[in-house]
Amino acid sequence: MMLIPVIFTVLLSGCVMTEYIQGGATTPAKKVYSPDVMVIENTKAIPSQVFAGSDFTLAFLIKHQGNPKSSDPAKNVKVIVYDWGLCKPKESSNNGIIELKTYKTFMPEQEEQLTMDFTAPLNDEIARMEYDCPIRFKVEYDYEGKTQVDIKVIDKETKKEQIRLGTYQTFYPTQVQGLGPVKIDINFYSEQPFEELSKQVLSIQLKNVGKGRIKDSKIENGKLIIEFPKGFKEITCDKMSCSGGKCKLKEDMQFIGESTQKIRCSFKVPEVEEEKTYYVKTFVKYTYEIDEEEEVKVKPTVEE
Amino acid sequence: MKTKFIPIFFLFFMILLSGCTNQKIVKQEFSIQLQKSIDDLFYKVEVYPLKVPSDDELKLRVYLESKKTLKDFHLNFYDTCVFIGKNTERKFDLEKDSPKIIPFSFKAGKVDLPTSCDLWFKMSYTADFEAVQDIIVMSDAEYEQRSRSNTLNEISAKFEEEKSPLHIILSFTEQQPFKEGREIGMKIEYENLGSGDLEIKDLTIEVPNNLKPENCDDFEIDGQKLKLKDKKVFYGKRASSSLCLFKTKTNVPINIQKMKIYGTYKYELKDYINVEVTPK
Repeated sequence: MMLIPVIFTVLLSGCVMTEYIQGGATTPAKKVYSPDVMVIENTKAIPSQVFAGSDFTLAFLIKHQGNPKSSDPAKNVKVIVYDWGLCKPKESSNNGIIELKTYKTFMPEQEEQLTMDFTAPLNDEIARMEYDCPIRFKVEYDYEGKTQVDIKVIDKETKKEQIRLGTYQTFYPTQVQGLGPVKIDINFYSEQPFEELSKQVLSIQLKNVGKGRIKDSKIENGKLIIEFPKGFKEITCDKMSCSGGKCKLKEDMQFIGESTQKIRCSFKVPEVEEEKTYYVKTFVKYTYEIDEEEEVKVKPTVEE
Repeated sequence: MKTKFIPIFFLFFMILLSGCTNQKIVKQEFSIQLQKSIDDLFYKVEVYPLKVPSDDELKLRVYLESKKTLKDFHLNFYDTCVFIGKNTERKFDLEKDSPKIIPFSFKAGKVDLPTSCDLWFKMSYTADFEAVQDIIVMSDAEYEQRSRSNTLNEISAKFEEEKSPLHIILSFTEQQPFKEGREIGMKIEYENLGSGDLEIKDLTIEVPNNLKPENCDDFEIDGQKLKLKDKKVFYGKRASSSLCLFKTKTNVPINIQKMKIYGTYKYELKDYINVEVTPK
């Protein structure tokens, strides 16, 4: 009996497991955390049979899929109901939308059961025919996506020595893409390890891999940050202003389809003794929206 | 009345006692992250803990053991990923059959995502090397007589070398046994059998009396001793070979002697352990 919860936990933990994608010398391998942060589950109308003119409740669960150890809370979570067809919400709407619930922070593994009461349209309104009320709502939340990638730098002498001894090897970097639907892809233009004091280029591209959409299809000015390690110099990035190893987006960046244009950054790696591994970190703050729709079937009542 | 208080006293006493035994004793259980027996060395790296939260300490100990004395042992954590360590370089002699445990401590830097970190370390040392080659020289008469009776191969020359990453291959222009008064060429090839980087720092050949050194390109001739002029650098697993010329001599029918080759080599090994750093 004791084993059941353990097995269940192990199975559940699979939800936030990472996926490993093989890379190459310039395309880092990827360790990707799940794209889902906030999810909507178990949407249903209660009772399941809704008759014209009767009251019913729409129930659903929202939850944060992240692991408390490796993910951040979602911020400014809003549940907004924006379409209900001929069904009438009991709550009054503001400009045709109802902000059902808001949460300043929503912690990883937190879940909330939400309900909203409606009245089904009357027989006359549905011409005594079966009718589907399309109840549409969305969950909107702010989240921060993170990616880090390793860079190996080798000093000239060590490289020469390793070539002489036949032990020189290409270093295959790995990028870890944190939880969230917006992933930051990092690629390099030359093979690693980079020779000390050499000038290198990397590219960054944002991709929406989730089921929802990025609000207004853009990342706002200042909300994409690249942090280069100490000692990295002569850093410049397209569309970004850089100082002290940190580059910030200086204009809004639009998504075209599911991805943005590539941003290229050039930098000079430091002088090292032998070999040293560094990490480049990127952060992106965005608002994400996921939609859900429940078709509530309304049956006409038979009048005697 | 007094007896009524006994259970209360007893309970109070138990609570007090439980306070004493409730103190948290955190046992540091090191886990073996790496264990290898290669070339001259057996080494093991243990870490605590296996997953280190940002800003926390990683304790690490390196166990070293060798069947021969390794001098100027230099253990250095040179690429420590997001970890910052003090005193990451140690120097000592590792005596034969006297294991050493070297402790290190590192502080994990800040990470925003779980980070799989490779901590690279280098071990370098110098060690002695010895090899012995039998040299057999026969007088003219003995050689001719054995040649006629087909018994030249009855006396065989052996080559023995100490176990080490350095392997020496000796080959002669003529087969042993040699005939007196002949000019013999000896080729010395150097091979790195280990997985690390090898460099021969010095090498001496003690030439037996039945050979007279005449010419030796990489070696200085000092009577019956040949000394390597410069260190031997390896390209891949091999270093450039050396060639020496000797004249055979004997005043007895069968002259069996030993050519001793000894020296020191520098060896360098690189390896890593993997530790996960988690955000706090």
